[in-house]
Amino acid sequence: MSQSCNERGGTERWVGFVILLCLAGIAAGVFIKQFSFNPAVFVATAAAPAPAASRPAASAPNESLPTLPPELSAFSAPETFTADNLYDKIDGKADLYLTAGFVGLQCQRLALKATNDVWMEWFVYDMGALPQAFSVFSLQRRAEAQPLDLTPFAYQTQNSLYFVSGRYYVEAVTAMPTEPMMAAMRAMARQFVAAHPPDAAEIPELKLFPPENLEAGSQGLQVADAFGFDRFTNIFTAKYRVDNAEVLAFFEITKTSADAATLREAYRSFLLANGGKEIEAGAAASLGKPINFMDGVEIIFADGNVLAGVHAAPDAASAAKVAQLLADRLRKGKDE
Amino acid sequence: MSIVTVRRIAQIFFFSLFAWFCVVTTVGDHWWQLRGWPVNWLLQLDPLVALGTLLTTRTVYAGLLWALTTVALTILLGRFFCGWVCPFGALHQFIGWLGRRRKKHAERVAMNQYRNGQTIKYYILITMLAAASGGLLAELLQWPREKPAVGLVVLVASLAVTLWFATRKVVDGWRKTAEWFVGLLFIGTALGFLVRPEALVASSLQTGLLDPIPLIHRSMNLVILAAFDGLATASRFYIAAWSITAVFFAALLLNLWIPRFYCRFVCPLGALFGVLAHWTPLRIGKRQGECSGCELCENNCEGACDPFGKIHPHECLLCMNCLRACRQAQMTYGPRRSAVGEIPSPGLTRRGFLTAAVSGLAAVPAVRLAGLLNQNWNPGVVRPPGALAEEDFLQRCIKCGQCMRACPTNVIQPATLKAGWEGLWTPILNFRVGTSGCQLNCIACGQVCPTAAIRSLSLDEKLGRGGFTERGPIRMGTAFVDRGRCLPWAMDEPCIVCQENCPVSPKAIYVREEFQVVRDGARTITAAAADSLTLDGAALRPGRLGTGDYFVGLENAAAGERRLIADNSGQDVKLAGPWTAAPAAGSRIFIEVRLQKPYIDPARCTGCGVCEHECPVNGLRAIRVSAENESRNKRHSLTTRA
Amino acid sequence: MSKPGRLNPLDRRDFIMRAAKAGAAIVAAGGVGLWLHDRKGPSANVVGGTVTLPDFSLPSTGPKMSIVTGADRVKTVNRALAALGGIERFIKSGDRVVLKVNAAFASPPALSATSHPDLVAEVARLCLRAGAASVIVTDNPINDPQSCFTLTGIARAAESAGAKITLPTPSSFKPTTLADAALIKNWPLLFEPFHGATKLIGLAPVKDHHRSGASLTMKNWYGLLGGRRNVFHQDIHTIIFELARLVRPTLVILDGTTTMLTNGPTGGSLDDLKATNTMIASTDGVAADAFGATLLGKTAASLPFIGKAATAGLGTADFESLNLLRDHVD
Repeated sequence: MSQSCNERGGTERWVGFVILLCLAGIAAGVFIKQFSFNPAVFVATAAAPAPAASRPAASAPNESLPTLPPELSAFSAPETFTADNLYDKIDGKADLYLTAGFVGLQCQRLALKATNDVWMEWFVYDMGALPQAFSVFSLQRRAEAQPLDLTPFAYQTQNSLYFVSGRYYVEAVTAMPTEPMMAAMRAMARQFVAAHPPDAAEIPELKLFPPENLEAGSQGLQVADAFGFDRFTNIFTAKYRVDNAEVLAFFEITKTSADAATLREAYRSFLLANGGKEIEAGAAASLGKPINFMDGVEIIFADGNVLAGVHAAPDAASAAKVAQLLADRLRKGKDE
Repeated sequence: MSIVTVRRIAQIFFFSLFAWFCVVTTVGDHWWQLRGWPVNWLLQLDPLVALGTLLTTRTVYAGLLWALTTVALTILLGRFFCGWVCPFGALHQFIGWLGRRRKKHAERVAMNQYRNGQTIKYYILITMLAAASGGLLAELLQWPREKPAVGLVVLVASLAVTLWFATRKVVDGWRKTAEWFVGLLFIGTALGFLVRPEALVASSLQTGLLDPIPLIHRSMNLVILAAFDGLATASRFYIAAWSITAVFFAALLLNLWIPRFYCRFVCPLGALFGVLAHWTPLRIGKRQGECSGCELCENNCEGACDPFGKIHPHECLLCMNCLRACRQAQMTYGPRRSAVGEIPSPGLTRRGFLTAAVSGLAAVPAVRLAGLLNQNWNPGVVRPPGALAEEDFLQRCIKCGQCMRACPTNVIQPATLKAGWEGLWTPILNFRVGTSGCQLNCIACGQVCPTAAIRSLSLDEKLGRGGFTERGPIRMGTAFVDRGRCLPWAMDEPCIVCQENCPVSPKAIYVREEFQVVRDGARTITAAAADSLTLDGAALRPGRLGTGDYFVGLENAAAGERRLIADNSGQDVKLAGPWTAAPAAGSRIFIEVRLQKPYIDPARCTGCGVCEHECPVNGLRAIRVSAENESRNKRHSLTTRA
Repeated sequence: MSKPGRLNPLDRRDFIMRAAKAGAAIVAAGGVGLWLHDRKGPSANVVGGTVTLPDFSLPSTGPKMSIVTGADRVKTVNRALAALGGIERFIKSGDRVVLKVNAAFASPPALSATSHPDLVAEVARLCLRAGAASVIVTDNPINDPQSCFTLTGIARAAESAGAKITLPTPSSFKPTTLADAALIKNWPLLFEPFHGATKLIGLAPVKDHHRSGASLTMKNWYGLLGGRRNVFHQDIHTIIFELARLVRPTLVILDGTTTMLTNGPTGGSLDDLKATNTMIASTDGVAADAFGATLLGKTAASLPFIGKAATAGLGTADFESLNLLRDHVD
C-alpha cells in the first residue's frame, strides 16, 4: 500500500512533522528550565548558612589590607564581602561591580591617631584583573575629578581618593576632609600601590584612541551592556572636545572581521528598530551613514576586527570629525 | 514518515523524559542531578491529579495548571495522552506487542475485541472522585443551614446541572439516574439540618493508587531505580516495596493475556479522558466504501475500540495502527464520524453509577471511624518537615514517591498501613533505614512535592530563623530515650553518641553526669602505691577499665575524691594521677563508671532522627522519634506552651 | 490496490455542535482552573501567623503637599509642615509615632546617604511637642544596625530630642503577606516598633540609585523588610510598587536639602552631592517622589515604580494638580 502519492499521506507527513517539532520544543524547554535551579539545590550547595544580620567580620589578620601608615589606626574591624553578600555593604551599587567581574571587597574604617574622631573608610575591590578594575573606576568617575599622581588611573575629589592598582580598585572616602586626613589617605594609597605592584600598569587598548582633542582622564571601559545594547561587551570609551561639543568615541575589539561586521549590523539594526533614522553622510562618508538616535548622532564602522564609532554626539559635523580621527588612528595602528 | 512512526517517537520521547526525570530527582547541581529539571512536569500534566486536588482542596495548586493543556488537547483531539504520552501506556503497549508477536491474526483480533469490562475503569474513576468530593459536598450542604431558602435552591440547582452534564452521555437512562441522585441528596440535606454534615462526609485523595502517572513514578522511584542505585551509589531501601512491585508487575504481565489490560480495564485517567473526548471535533472513523472485512485494523488496535464495526470513540487511544494497517485505506482521522456509526457512550448503568458514587462517598467516613485522625492517631506516623496536618495531607498526597526519591538520606519511606488504609504508600520517616536522619540544611522533599502535601519550605522557615524566629523550627516529632535500653541508663555502659550527633544548636539532647558503682565494683585494697592499687576479688578483664570512663572512689570519701583509671590488668589498677593521701591496704574502694545519661529538651528537639539513626543499640533503638509535639498539629503538643 | 473509500458527507451541523461544545468545555475548564489557581500553596496552620501593617493614613481634607526652599533644614521643615496645617493636623495628643528614617549605611551625615540627624531630631521634637506619647525612630539597615545608627548620628539626635531608637533583632520580624502580590508573600516585616503605633511618618533623603534610578519616599519602605531582601533587586520596580501598597503612612517628608545626584545609593564623594535646598512634605508619596525626581534631573516618567503606583491609584504623579503650596525661607 503506498500512500505517498495520496493527498492524505501528505497531510499525514505534515502533521507528523509539526508534532516532532513540538517534541523538540518540549525538549528545548526542559533543557532551558533546568538552568534555573530548584531552591533545594541552592540550599544544599550553599556554604555555611548566612547569618540573619550582617555584622563586621571578626578581625582575623587580613593580609590584603596593608599595614597602616603611622598616622592612622583602626576605627572599626576590617570587613570582607564576596559576590554573595556585596549587597549587604553597598546595596544597589553592587550590580555595577558584579557585572564587571567582582571577586571580593575588603574594607575598614581608619581614624587619625591624633584626632581620633576624624575617620575615613578604605575600600579595596578585587576585580580580578586590570581591565575590570579600570572599568568600574571609569564608570564612576566624578565630573569634578582632580588629578592624582599615583597610578596611571587615579583621581581625587575634595573628600576622597579613587585609583586603580593592578587588579584592585581602591576608594578612600572621608566625611571630614581636613588636610591631615587627606595627607594620611594619600600616604595609605602610596603604601598600597607599593605593596601591590601591578604587573601590567597600562591598558594597551587605550593607545588606540587618537590623542588630539581627547579629554584627559575620560577613557573608560564598559564590560557589559554598553549603551543599552546587550551584545556590546568590553567597549572602550573616551570623550573628545571638538568645536565646543563633547563627543564620545568608542571601540570594541572582536575576534574576526566577520564578527566586527556582524556586530556593526546588529547595532545599526538595534538603533533603527528603536526609533533611529539614517541621515546623510557628511564629512566621514566612507564610514557609512550616520544614524540620528534620540537626538544624538551615532556613527558605527568596522576596521578589520575592530568595531568603532561615535555615540550620542550633539551634531553630525562633530560626530564625523571624531569618527574620522578614530578611523585614521585605527588604520595607522594596523599599518604600523 | 507515517503517523505511526511519529507516535512511536513520541512514546519513546515521553518515556525517556519520564525516566530521566526520575533519575535526576536527587539533590545536587551536576547535570544528572536535580538542578532545575522540571521533574514534576508529567505529574502536572495529569488532569486526574489536578481534578482530584481540585475537589479536595478547591484550588489548583501552582504547576498543576498544566493539566489544562492536556484537557484542552484531549477535548479537541481525543485520547492522545494515552496513545502518545503516557509512559505507563507505552510500557503496556510494548509488552503487549512482545506478547502477541507470534500470534496469528485471528488470535490477535480476539485479544483486541471490545469487552464490557472496559466500563470498570469508569466506575473506578467515579468511586475515586466521589471519595474526593466529600468535603465539597459537606460545604454545599452547609448552605441550607446558613441561608435556608437561597441555599437550598442553589444547592439543588447546581447539583442537578452538574449531574446533567456529567451523566447524560455516560449513563444510559440518565434522567432517572439524576432523579435518584438528587433525591438521595435531598435526604442528605435534611439530615444535614439535624446532624453536622462534616461528620457524615469527608474527602480523601486516593486517585494516586491507580492513576498511572503517580503509579509509574512510584514504581520507578521506589523499585526500579532503587534496585539500580546499589550499582553506582549507596543502596537505597524502601519498606514494603514489594507491594508496589507487585502491583506494577502484575499490571505489566497482564498484557500478555490481554494487551493494554490496565489501560482498558483499570485506568481511571483513561476513563477521565474517555469522558472528555465525548465531543472531540476530530476522531478516528471508517470511510464509506468497500471494506473487505479483513479486520486487519483490529490486529493491533490498542484501545479495543472496535474500529471495524461501530467504533467506541471514548476507548480509542489514537494509536493510529488501524490507519496504517488497512490495505484499502478505509480508516481516517478527521472531522467526520465513522461511516458505519459510533457507540457514543460507555454504557454505565444507573445502578453501577450510583453504587460507585455512594461507595466512594461513604467509604471515607467509614474508614475514618478508626479514629486515626483523632484520638487514635498513630504516633509512629512521623511525616516529612513541612507536611500538612494529617487530614489536609491525605487530601493532597498522590503517593508519587518523588519525596522519597529526592530525600538524600533515604529516610522517607512509603507507609504500609501505619497511617491507615488512606495512608498507604504515603511518606513516613523511618530513621533506621537510610544513611542518617533528616538533614538539618535540606529542604528537598517539600520542593519536589507536586501537590504541596509537603509545603515547600524555605530554609529559614524550617530552621526557625530570620522572619520565623518567633515561630521556631518545624518539628516532625520528638525523640524519647528508652531508659530500659539506653546503654548509660540501663547497662552501665558509657555512651553519648546521640548527644554528639544532635545537629541543632544548642543541642536538644543534654546529659547529666552520674557515677555508678559497677557490678562487682566493691573491692578491698590488698596493696596500694601512689598511683596504682592491687585489689582482691575476681580478676578484672585487662584493659577494660582504661577507656577513660572508669574511676576508683574511696569509701567514706568526700564527693570528688575519685581518681581516673588509666589502665588495669587482672588484679592491678593503674591510676591516671596519684592520690593526695593514698589509701591504706585493707580499705574498701569502689570501681565506678562515669555515665552521661541523655535527656531530651522538647523545646529544642525537632525530631530529625539523627540520634535514632546513630544509636548503637541497633535493633529496637534506645532513642526513638515519635510524632508527639509535631509542628503541624497543635493537639499533639507535649507541653502547654506551643 | 483499491481506491480509498469516499469520505461520508460531513454532517456540518453535527460537527459545529461538537466543536462548539468542545470549545465551551475548554473555556469552562480553563475558567475554573484559572479562577481557582493557587500559586502559593497551603500555609502552615500556626498560631501567631502573618501580620498586617495598619493603615496610618488620615482622610485627606486639606492641603496635600508643600514645597519649601531654603538652606536650613530645621526652618524649611517647620515651614513645610506649617503650610500643610501644622504638625497638629497629623499628630494628636497621646499618639504613638513611628519615624521611619533612612539609616541604611554606616555613613557619616556629610555624605548624605542617610537621613540627616538634624531633621530626625526636629521632626521628633515637633511630634512630642504636639502631644505624642512616644516617638520611635527605626529602620532595618543594610549594614550592622548598631554602627549604622551611631555613625549616622541618628541615634544621638533622636535621643536628644526625646525619641527612642528601636534596633532590629531577629525576633523583631513577623511574616506579612500583601494581597495579590507577586513578591511580598509571607515575607518578614519589621513589626516590633509598630506594636501600639498610631501614626507613621517616613523621612527620606533624595538620592540617585544605581538599580532603581532614584531612592525617594517609596523606596524608603524597603527598610521595613527583613530576610534576604536583596533578591527583590531583580524586580526592583515591582517591589517598590508593592511596598507603596503595603505601607500607608500618615505623612512623608522628603529631604532635598542636599541631593545625591550620582553614584547612589552609597555615594562617597562630596562631588556626588548638590545643594538643591528643597524640603517636601506630603500625604501623597507618589506625588512627593514625582517631584523629587525633578531634583535629580530626572522625570517621573523615567522611573517605572512611580507609574505603577500612580496607575494603581496609590497617589498621583501629576503633583502640579495637587495645588502645591510653595514657599521659601532663608
